[in-house]
Amino acid sequence: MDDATIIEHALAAVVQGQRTPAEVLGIDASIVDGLYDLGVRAHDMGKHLHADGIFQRCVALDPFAARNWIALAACRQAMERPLDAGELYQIAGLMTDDVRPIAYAAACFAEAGETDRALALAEHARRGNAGEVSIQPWLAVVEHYTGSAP
Amino acid sequence: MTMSVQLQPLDRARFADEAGTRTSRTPMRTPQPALEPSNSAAPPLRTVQAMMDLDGALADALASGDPASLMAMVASRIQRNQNDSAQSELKANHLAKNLHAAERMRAYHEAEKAEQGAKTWGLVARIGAYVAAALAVVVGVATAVFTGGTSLLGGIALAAVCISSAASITVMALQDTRVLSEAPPRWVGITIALIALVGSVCSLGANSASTVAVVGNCVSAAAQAADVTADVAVEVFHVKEPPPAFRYVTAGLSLAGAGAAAAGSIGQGAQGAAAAVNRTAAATARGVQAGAQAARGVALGTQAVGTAGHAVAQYSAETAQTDARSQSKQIDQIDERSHDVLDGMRSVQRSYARMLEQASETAAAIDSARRGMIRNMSRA
Repeated sequence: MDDATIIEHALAAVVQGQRTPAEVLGIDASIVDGLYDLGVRAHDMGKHLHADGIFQRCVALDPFAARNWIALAACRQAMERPLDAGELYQIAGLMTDDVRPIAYAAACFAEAGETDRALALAEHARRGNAGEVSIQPWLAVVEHYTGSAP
Repeated sequence: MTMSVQLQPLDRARFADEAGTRTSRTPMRTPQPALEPSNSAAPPLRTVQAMMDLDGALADALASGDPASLMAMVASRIQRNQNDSAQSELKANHLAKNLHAAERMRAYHEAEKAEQGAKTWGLVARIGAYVAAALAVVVGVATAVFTGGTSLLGGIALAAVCISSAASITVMALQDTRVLSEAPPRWVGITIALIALVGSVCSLGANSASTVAVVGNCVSAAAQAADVTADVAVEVFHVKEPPPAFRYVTAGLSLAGAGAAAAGSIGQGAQGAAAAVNRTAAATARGVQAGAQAARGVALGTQAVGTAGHAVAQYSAETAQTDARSQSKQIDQIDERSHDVLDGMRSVQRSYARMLEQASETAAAIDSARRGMIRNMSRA
């Protein structure tokens, strides 16, 4: 097998979701976790730009993990870029069955003035999860900015 | 005179509300989700080292400015990873194989122990059978002597017991001394059992010491009859061999019946001794008979316990052997998987070797080109 074929096969496995780029490159899952922890530490210390860079690497190494996208979005949110944060939370919502990232995205879009997107996502998060207490603060933000009531 | 006017800041929200054109409300901070650290993270130093390795490799490849070199770097990393994975799988297979081998050895040892136990219990059963057969004769003769048994039924019973016991002992002795290498034909066993049954029935008719003894003898005879019937059915009508449990139940019933008969006779004997001095001889006879019956019961019990122990030990030996066979099978499967992994590794190693050859050829070509260039330059 020549280099191109090897890379082609590896890329196919990544695209089909069979393996993460980290696995293909032989980077252990604990290393990705360690990187994520370093990012969390930087984020907690208020070094959002630094944390953003670290979480970008986490996303590159394991794009199928919702937590990496959520962490990156939280950094953008902390850097007062709600539109970016909303987009990233929305991607995180595609990686998991959990509706919380969708609620986060709705709140960020509402804050950014993207009313239609915010309402659509809030409706999606609310559907079947009306009793979910953990998403209520974010839905309240959507209601605040859009003036809508459930 | 000039008038100073105090300018107030514009309340945009109020104006917007009054004009009905308000589009945004007072800012509200969107809460941020809490980021939880992971549980199985590598230490920071190791993490940073791993990232630096990756960056270093990428930087080297990028610095060369050659796309082929970048591809070679990525491809070699992918291949190295595949190789590492295969090696760790092989290691895991090896470990699993060792574990299964240890398990198999343990199973074999258990099988060995169980077989040893089966042999011991088999010996106990054999001794019990000898003693039971011998005591049957003793009991019969003692009964006849002490009770002055002159009845026809008593005579037949004694003869039947003597014949069946003697035949049983002979057959067992022939087997144990290896004169007979195989088990005797089934009809031999059936004949002996039939004679013994006839003896039991006749002794039932001849001896009615007490109700308990009669009932005990009846149960014993019925159990014997059931056993013989099963043997006859298997031999003549070729029906399926009854399960071992059937043999245990008939043996147990026979033992219980004999025990009850013995107990009944003991009671009768005690009663007779106390009744009258002039019937001392008869009472003694019954006492002896009872003692002999009890001894026979003990012997039958020994035989039954021995047989049951043998059966249990044999069962555990078979189970242990099955276990050992299953372990062997699993080891074979692991072997197969290891072969597959090894094949994969060999293929990766071959392509590695090819890659190295190509790299050295390329290096040689570059070197030769450089030398040519130097020559040309020096000529120029």
